[in-house]
Order: sequence, then C-alpha cells, then structure tokens
Amino acid sequence: MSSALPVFRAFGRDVALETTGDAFLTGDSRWRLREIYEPALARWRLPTQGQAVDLGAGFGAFALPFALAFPGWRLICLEPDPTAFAALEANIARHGLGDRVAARPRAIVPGAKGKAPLIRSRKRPAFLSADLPHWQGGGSAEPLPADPPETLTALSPDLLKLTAPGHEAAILEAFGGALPPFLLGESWTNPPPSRLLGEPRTSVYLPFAGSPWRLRREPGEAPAGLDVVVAMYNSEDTIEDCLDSLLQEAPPDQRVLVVNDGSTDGSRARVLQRYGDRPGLSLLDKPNGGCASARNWGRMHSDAAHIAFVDADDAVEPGFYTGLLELARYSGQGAVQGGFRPFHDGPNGRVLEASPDALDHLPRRTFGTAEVFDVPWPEVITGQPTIWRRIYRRDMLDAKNIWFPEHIRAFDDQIFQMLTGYHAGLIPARDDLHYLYRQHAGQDIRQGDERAFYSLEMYRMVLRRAVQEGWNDFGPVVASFFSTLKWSHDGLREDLRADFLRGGAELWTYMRQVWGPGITSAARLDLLPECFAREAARLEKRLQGLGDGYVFAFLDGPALHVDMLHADRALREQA
Amino acid sequence: MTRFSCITPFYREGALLRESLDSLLDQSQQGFELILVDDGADAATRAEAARYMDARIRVVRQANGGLSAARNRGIAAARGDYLCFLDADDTRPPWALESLDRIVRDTAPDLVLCQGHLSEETGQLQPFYDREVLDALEDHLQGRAAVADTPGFRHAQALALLAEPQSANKLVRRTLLKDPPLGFPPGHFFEDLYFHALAVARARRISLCPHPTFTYYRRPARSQLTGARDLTRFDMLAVARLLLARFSALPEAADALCRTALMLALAKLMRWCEEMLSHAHRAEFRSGVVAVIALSDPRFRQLARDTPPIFEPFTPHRDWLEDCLADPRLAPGKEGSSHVIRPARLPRLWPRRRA
Repeated sequence: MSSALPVFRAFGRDVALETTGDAFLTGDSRWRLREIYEPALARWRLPTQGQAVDLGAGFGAFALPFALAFPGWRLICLEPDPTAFAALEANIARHGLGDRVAARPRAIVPGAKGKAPLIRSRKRPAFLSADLPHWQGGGSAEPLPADPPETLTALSPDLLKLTAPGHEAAILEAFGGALPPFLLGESWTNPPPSRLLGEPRTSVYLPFAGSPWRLRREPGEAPAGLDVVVAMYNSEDTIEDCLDSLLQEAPPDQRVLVVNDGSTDGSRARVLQRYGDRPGLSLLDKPNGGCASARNWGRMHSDAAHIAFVDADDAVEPGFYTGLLELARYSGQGAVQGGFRPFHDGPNGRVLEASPDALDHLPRRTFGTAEVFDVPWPEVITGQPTIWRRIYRRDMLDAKNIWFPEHIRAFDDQIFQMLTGYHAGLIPARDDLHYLYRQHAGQDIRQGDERAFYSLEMYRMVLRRAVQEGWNDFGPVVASFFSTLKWSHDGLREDLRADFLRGGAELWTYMRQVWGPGITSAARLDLLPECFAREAARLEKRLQGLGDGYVFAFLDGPALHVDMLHADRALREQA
Repeated sequence: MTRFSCITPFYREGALLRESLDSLLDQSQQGFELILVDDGADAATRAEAARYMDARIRVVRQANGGLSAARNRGIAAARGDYLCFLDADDTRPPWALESLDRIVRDTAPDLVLCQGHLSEETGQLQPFYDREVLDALEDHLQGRAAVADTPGFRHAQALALLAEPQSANKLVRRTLLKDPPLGFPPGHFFEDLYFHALAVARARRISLCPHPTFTYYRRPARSQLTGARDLTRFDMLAVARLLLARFSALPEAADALCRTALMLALAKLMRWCEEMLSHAHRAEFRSGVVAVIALSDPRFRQLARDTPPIFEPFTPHRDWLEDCLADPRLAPGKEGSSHVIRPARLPRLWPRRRA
C-alpha cells in the first residue's frame, strides 16, 4: 500500500513515509520541515560528511529526507514514543538506510537515569514534553526510556536537530559552550538564553515556538556582544553608582565604554581608581563636546552588534541588559526596550517614583518567564524621548545613518528617538526590568531657555528625512511636534515665547505644504495660543499661489536655529 | 603668538588631504595653528591625517555632521586672531599667509577677501571665477580698508557680496564671529553664501588681498557637491531663505545696491542649482524659489535699476531672477514692486513644459 503513504517534501526530494496515523503529528511535521528545517539547511553549507543527531525524531520526517539528501552523513535518531519509534524503524528499513541511520527508543532528559516522566498533551497526543510545573497543564506524566544529556554530548554530533520541548536550555547547557557546529530545531516555553551559544563557529537556527522570534547565528558572523556607552561629564557623584549597576548581572559579552567628555572634576580618576583595568569596562577620553558628541564617540569606538546609551547620572536594575539582550537577539528588531522608573536621591538612597509609561493597552505575550509586547513606531514617536532604555542594532543605525547631531546641545534624544523608532518599525519591549532615571534640578528639560529651539530644528530635520526617505505616514511626527510645542512653550521663558511660536508656525506651514491638508487631522492647534494659528495663516496666505509640494521640506527659518535666533535677538535689542 | 587659525575639515578625501595639508604646513609665514576637523572621516583619510606629527596641528573629531557643522566645530576650537578655511582637497600657495599677514598689519581688517586660482577639470589653471569683481574691489579700495560709516563703504560691501562665496577666499577676525555668534548653517549644503554675506555685512573694516591665496580644484573623478544633481541641491533654498530672513534685519538691506548684489549672488547660485538639477526636480525647485521670495521681505523684490558696470556679467542671473519675481504665483508684496521692470515677455511655458 506504499502508494497511499503520505509524501513529505524537503531538501529537494519527495519522500513517502509511514506515520503514526496521528493527523496532528503529520501536519506538524510537514510545517516544521517547510518553515524551519528546509530554510535553515538551504542557507547553510553543510560539509559533505558528518554525524547528525535527530533528537525527538518522531517517525523520521526530518531524519529520512535529510539522510537521502546528504548521503555522506550518518544519523542517530532518538525517539521515546513507542508508536512513533515503530514507524521510524519501518521508514528506515523501507528506504534501505539501515547502514547510515540508527534509531534508539530514548528521550534525553536532564537527570534521567534510564527512565523519565514525560507529559503527553491531550490536544496533541503525539507530542511529548517536559514534566515541568508550568508546562501545558493537564495530561499525565508517562514514564518513558530516557538518558541524561551527557549521553548526547558524548556522541559529539556535527549537527543537532533539537525537538525536546521544555528541556532545550538544559540540553544546550550540557554542551558547556562546545555546541555542535550546526544547531537546528525549535524551543518551547523557556527560550534558551543566548549565552549558551558559546563560541561563534556554531550556526544556529532555533525559532521560539508560537512567535516570530528565533535564536539565530550565521556562520562567520561579525562580533556579537553589547557595548554600553556611558557619556560622562562631571559626574563624580553618580558615576560609580551608574557603573556598578551596569556590571551587576551583566551579559557576559557586554562591554561598558565610559566616554569622558572632558570632565573637569574627579570623574575620570574615580573610574580609573575603582575599575582600573577591569575587563568589560574601558575609559575613553575626548575633549568636551557635549552629550551627543560623547555618545557618538562611544559608538565610533564600538564594533559590537548591539549598542546602548546610558547617562552617567542614571542606573539600571541588575540584569537589565541581560534581559533586554535576549529580546534583541531573539527578535532581531532594530531596537528593543525595557521599562523605566524616575527616581530622586533620598537620605537612604534612591526613592523610586512610579513609571510614567502608559503601554498597558498593548497586547502582551509570554517569553519564557517574562511578559513582552511590541510598541509600534507611531507610539514610539509620540512617546516621551527615552532613548536610554533601549538596545539598538548597530547595523541599523549605520545603514540608516542615524547619529546624535552634535551641534544640537540639548534634547538631541528627540530626533534619535523619532528616527530609530521609525526605522525599527516596532520595538519589542518588556517592562519588568527598569532603567532608573535620576531626577534633579539641573536637567535640560527644566531650563526653559533658548535651547527649546533645538527641538524646532530637529523636527525640521525629521521632515526633510521623511521626504527623502519616503515615509508613508507623517501623522505621528505631527502629533509629537504639537505636544512638544505645547510642552516647551509652557516651560519657556516669557520673552522667548513669541519667537518660539513664530518658528513653530513656520515649520508647521512647511509640514502642511509638504503633506497636504490631510495632515491637519494630527495637529493640535488647540493646545497653543491663538497667535500660532494666526501666524500660520499669514504664512499660508503668502504661499497660497503655490500649492503643495515636497520642496517645502527643504525650506528653513532662522527661528529654527538657536544660534541664528540668538544673533537676531541681540540685533533687535541693540536697535 | 598664534596669529592665524587655519581650519580644514576632512571626510573622504583620502590621499588628496596630504597635498592640502602639505601646502599649509609649508607656508612661509610660521605663526599659525592648523585645526583639522575629522568629520566622521573614513579610515583611509583619518590615516592620512594621523601621519602628521606637527605641533601646529590639532585634531577635533566628530561624527559626520557635514561641512558646516565641521567648520563651526573648528571655529569653536580656534585660538588665533584671524580664521581661514581650506577644504581638504584644495591647496594654498606658500605665500598665502604671509601676504594675508601684511594686509592684516597694514589695514587691521575684520574681513579680508582674497584672489584665488581655479584648477579646471581639464587641467587648465586660471584665475578664480570672481577675478573681475575683486579687481573692481581693489580699484575701489586703493590699498586701504573700507571702513563702516565712511563714504564708499556700502559700495565696497556690494562688491564684496558679489564675490564668489568660497570659504577659502576669506580671512575673518575671530571676534567678528562672536557675540552674537556667526557660523555656517548646520546641516545644509551650499552653506558658503550664508556665511559670506553675513560676514560681509557684519565686518566694519573690509580689505582685499590682491595676491591669490588658494587654488580650488574641480576634479572629474570625485563626486563633488558641485556635480550633485539630486535633492542636496534643494539645500540652496533653505540657505536662501535663512540668509534673506537674517539679512532683512540688517541696515544693508535698506541699501538698494547691497540688496541687489545679494540677490544677484543668490540668483547666480540658485540658477546654477536649478540648471544642474535632474529634470524630475526642476519644477519643484522653481516653486521653492518662488516660495522663498514669497516668504521674504518684499524689499528684496526691488532691484536697483542703475548698477555699476561690474554688475554687467550678472545680467543673465538678473534675467533669471526677474523671471522668478514675475511668477504669477507670487502674491504682490505690500509695497508693490514698482522698481522691478517686468519683462514684456510671453507667458513662460516652463515649468509646465516637458523636460
């Protein structure tokens, strides 16, 4: 009855296989071949010979097509379920692969001594998983033949196909950093931490079940790792607190780059004295040039795959970057973020305040023991600038040419947030780990001086980029623009307000001329004094003959530049 | 004592940087510092800069922020009494600083404009574009500085405004750029005219150096800004808008000759930009020119009718400008534009005409 056998298509062939008769397992095996195993093996260049282990082989949906497609390879298949094992043996015999493919009726379970309990899911009866308290619920544990992971490592396979629900992390741990050169499979419930990948020669493709995320490493990939750039300027009171927190429960491949931006106090000496030549922390000196220049300096000296920016008066909770880095690596997104909490210094240390984040409306899902959610880019753009609680992919920053503009001496976070937000598309987030943000009186955001005009210049830069880069939606930037206008105007010195509104109205006129009247729905003229709308109407009247056009993204006004404004005001005072 | 600060940003000039720096370090005049601004340079160019071990050199490094931001960075770092700028692919003759030093000692200027040379794409060497304008300025100044509030000063300013807005062709007193600050407009290309015109307007004493002090190179193999045909040209509009807005607050804006010189200098650049642009962008660019005029002080629409003979070579630019001023989309300014002689022409087909 071989003609009635289901056919499995993978690795360039069609292979007829006997199954357990379970429709779920048949469909699931097909899906896994098509979505995971075939794309990975199409990408990799396997040597012509090698030894593979198929852990959780089932009836052989991976093993047999693999053995047929790679005739130089030997395989050992492990499968504890008796029915599946019988089908597997039959399939090996049917395809005459008995000399290259061996089957053993075993599971691999940490701590197993001959037998171990495995759960058989009621919904998916062919699916055996770890007997972990939080795993699946229902079903009953069934004692099945099992060996400890050491049996597996002793085989020292060149390729491991891993289907061991709930035990992935423990199995990878058993390899102690010396993983097989090729690791393929899926993980359930507890995503194995990326640190287990060990040395970089291993190619890995390990999707996390039920999500679009995966643990992945390409052969010969550039240095991974995370560089945390700490911009330090006269921070002797806080720098140790900051650096201590960064070193607590840090990822093993984290490097802290302390950029001393020409401090004139004892910050530099303190860092050297306390941390000296400590690996994982280096001190870079540069002449003073402002926070943006210090962050860029750190980035220019970094070659890591991921990068984060920390202010020297802030701190992070222990394990902050370890947790975030998993999100960054599994999701592969351009940026990921943690939660944050403002604090101020009390007599007995930090006094934490409630987090101002309002992200509860975003749907959550579990990722191991954490809850994660995605922040879509419009929310990133309209949200408060919090660039320091994120990890960025360096290659995204490089490819999109996103830097901190160094001549902008305040609020440079704003443009960085908008550009990274847009280009990341969405930002995976968890808010159980916090960046701790120190509140104190000297902060830029409390000054109310001419630096507020830097915001105008930055929104103009975003407008121009949006036109050149072809952004499809500018509404979120407009919404953010109006709330920034409102917020800056309210805190602004009285004598600067008229100029500020005039500059804002000019830029708003350009925005409207670029995007057309439709963009007005995102505007909030009601937040601003009436003279704003009057000035915008006056400018619009002057331009009424011209119609809309992208050229307005390239106009500019002196009130959008702090230095020019400064000079013009001085001139007016003289007169 | 350091007298001059020479500011040279570098980015991707590679080996060209060496020629430029050698020409500066070989100056016959010794009292100067050389500020190199590493504007997010590539590794090859940075390596070229690192070969120099000269006490006169200081390197300031920044993430790439463009020529304007880099020169501003240099201005902020400078300590000399006078500043000059040289791009990393241009050179100075060995006598440059010495000649400038003589002018400075003789005339105590705020601003010196200099003659220069041009090395064409073909290899042809010739005087720089503005030779005739500066010759006229030399005739006017008679070896002295033009001094504010004296007769002939506005005329000197007008001639200075007509000079090429090249950053290498001037020497600026450092204090002229302070209180309130004057620099290059950050983030914009075609920044030179902005700085040039505002420096001319701010200077109380203007001199001319009749000796050429720089050579500007047009290089066919390099993708220079001067060859750009894309949206970077649109920065010209921003610069025009900023310049007109700032200039309108100055007393020079009330002087018809100065105003006309400024508008012609702008027209020359904008026209050049328009004609270099890919056709896909030209109509939009023209709209931008009209928008800049619409947003600016209506006085800028009034050009002087009688101009000195040296304005003659600018006639094509003036025609182009008057064409823009006659654009039907332009709402009439409050005072009207009686001084503009509207050319009696047929309605312009372009920009609706196909490219």
